Amino acid sequence: MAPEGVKTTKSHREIAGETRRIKVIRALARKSWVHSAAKLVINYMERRGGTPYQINAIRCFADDFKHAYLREKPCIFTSAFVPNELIYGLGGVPFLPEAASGFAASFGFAKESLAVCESLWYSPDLCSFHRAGVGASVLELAPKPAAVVVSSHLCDGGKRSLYQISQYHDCPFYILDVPYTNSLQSLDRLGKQIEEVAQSLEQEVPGLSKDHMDEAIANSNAACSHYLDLCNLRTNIPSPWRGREALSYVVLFLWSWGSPWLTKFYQALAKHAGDIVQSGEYPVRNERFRLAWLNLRPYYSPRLFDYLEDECEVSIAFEEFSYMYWDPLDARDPYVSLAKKIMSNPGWGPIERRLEVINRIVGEFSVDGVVQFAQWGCRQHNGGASVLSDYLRKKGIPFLNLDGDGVDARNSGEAQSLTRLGAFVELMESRNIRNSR
Amino acid sequence: MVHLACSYIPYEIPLAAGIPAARGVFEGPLPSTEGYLPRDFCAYARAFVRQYKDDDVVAIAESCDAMRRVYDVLRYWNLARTVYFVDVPRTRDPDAISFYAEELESLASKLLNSEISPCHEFSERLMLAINCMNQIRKELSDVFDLVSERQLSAGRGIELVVNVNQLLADFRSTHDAPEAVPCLTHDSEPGMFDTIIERIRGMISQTVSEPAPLSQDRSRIPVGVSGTCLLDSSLIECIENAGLDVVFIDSCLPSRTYDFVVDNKTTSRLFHALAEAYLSKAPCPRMFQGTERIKRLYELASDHGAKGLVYFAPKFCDQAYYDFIEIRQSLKALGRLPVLLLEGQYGVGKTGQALTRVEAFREMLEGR
Repeated sequence: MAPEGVKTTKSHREIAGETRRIKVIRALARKSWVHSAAKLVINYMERRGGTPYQINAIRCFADDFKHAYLREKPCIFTSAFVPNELIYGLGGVPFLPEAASGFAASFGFAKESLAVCESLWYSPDLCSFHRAGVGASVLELAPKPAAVVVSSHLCDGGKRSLYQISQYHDCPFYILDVPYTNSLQSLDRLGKQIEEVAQSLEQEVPGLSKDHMDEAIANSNAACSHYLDLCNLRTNIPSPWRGREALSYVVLFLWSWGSPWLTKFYQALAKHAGDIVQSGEYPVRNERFRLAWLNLRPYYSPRLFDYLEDECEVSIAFEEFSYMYWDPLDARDPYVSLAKKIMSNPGWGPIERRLEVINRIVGEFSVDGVVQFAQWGCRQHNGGASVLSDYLRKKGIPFLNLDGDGVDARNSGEAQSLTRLGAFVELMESRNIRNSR
Repeated sequence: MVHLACSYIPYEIPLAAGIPAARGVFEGPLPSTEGYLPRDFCAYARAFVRQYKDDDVVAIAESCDAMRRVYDVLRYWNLARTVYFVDVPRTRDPDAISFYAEELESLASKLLNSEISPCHEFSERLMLAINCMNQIRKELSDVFDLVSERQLSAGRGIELVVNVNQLLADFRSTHDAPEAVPCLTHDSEPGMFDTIIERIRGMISQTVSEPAPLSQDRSRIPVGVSGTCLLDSSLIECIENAGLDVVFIDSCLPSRTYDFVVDNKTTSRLFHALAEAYLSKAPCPRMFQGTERIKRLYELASDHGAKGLVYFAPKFCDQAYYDFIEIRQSLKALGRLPVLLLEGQYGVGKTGQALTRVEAFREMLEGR
């Protein structure tokens, strides 16, 4: 049974006061000439000497968006930690509403998405990444899903918001019920579920076929290899890549495993980082401190990073969400392999797994301090703050829990965040933290 | 004692192991342990974070992001010596049931401090515990039938359920020393479960024999109450004080704890029977069972003649926030059943704001 909302999305748009630009964007996103024009623009940027990794990233999304909006391939909505090799492997294109919310915030569209969501009774105390995702779906800024696949681990908002999107669009919904304990039995259960979802998607959604699975797994493994080269280069002091950019490209890390473009993107990015190390043209030349950044970032404003990187000369050496946590996938046993990937996520299971990964990041990337961006409404990450703070304190690593909101600017006090970051840098200075480590 | 954090964790297992067990029921204000979890966490999760006694066992279920963090916090800060995690599936297909049966068997082994599967004697006692809990559930369901028929106030019903929960927590204290390690043989006195049932029957007869003035006025409007976790009884009292009769309560306590039966005919696969019954009971908002929850709520409202639904969401409970949207839209579409959302912490029903909103809801229902 579909809720009433299915038939009254238009009135919700009206209630939210749909703006003209939203109407224009919605219409343009579905025009084939727009996608052809975008392709020409990207080619032009490339010819004019655009940075190869940035061009590849744009192509990666442009390609997926074209397939999704023009319905050239079935578009499958997934939550952030579903292994999208499954979707590419079936010949579909994934769409992650919560990750797209970051895009929307960057381009200033999140306001309307959040407003429509609130008109539908979504509480402002929910994570804004999910609220904006639902809003974008209701406003039809997002493409229409052929099906929705979520995983039950890590984030309650992700699975529930996507369930509601599936209801609005009246499309099949699948949940991968991820066991908490990492055991053979758990892997077997999850592997079976993934296989069943793949079979069901193949039957329910015209145009999907498992014929592409080997290719998607090969793409994922190839991308992984280049990505590890990049990670290795990022251990360099000073950091060869700007943290603000790295935090923006986390979206690719969440989205594109299995896409052929991801391999090209990481290959080009690793080359770019290698060139920076060779040339010494570091983005933060006089790097004073190196931070590990946990969780995401505010996408609507770069001011925090202007301040950190340009004024304070502090680099973000590595991000928690960029941590490569899985082993290469096995094309002979793709479903168990994907199950292993899901269950290897350090955010899943007891918090000790997350602490271990943060400890590794601190060691491998010579980190001087750790900042957790405490996204409003993120119980998954924020709930670990007291443990994290104590764990790092015992290791002599300064920790800052920085309250804010990645998408909803109304929940953030930017000036307060700047003050707190400034105080944190002063604390590292006063402790002479770099020399003491 | 075992502190159970979720209605999906069976009482039967600790009872069969001879350990008193009770669902965590708290009263505000919360203890001063707030630094362990951020303030934007639901009050129930924060209430669970407290210093437990050395011989206490805490069983946390995979209910939500917040309760997973409670599990981490209790262990990391040594607030409880023994904390178990019970991995409750979100689906109830045969694989999920088998998985949960093994999870429950593993819980039993842990409670018995056994490396191997529970012994034959335990199985016998588990059967007795299942029969005992089935009987308790039946007795309490009968009480809530009286609530539905408006012969007993829902506030009294909730009070009774909380007292029964407390009785299950206390039942052994007069017989045994509170040793940390439960020993099956220490508690296998015959008739223990019969004693529990008798005492509960006594509590029930006392409750139903006392007058319930709120339910005598037939002009009062019947409503249902739903939500994730009711936190405390103050909301029910507030609704009744505002001139509405609560005819059903769809919450952890009472309905999702007591309104089902475990199949006791298959003696060989008791954990499977438990898993099946608990995963098949009235679904909680955390479960993914399509529209079953909505249909059930609509049936409850239709069967009991409820004219409206009060939905209670503990502040910062994500499951409730999302659940409410589905419930509101679907009930409106199905039968134009109005739904009032109330958010709050412990003691919400004692606030003037809640009372004003419930009174406004009553006036709206009166005008329909």
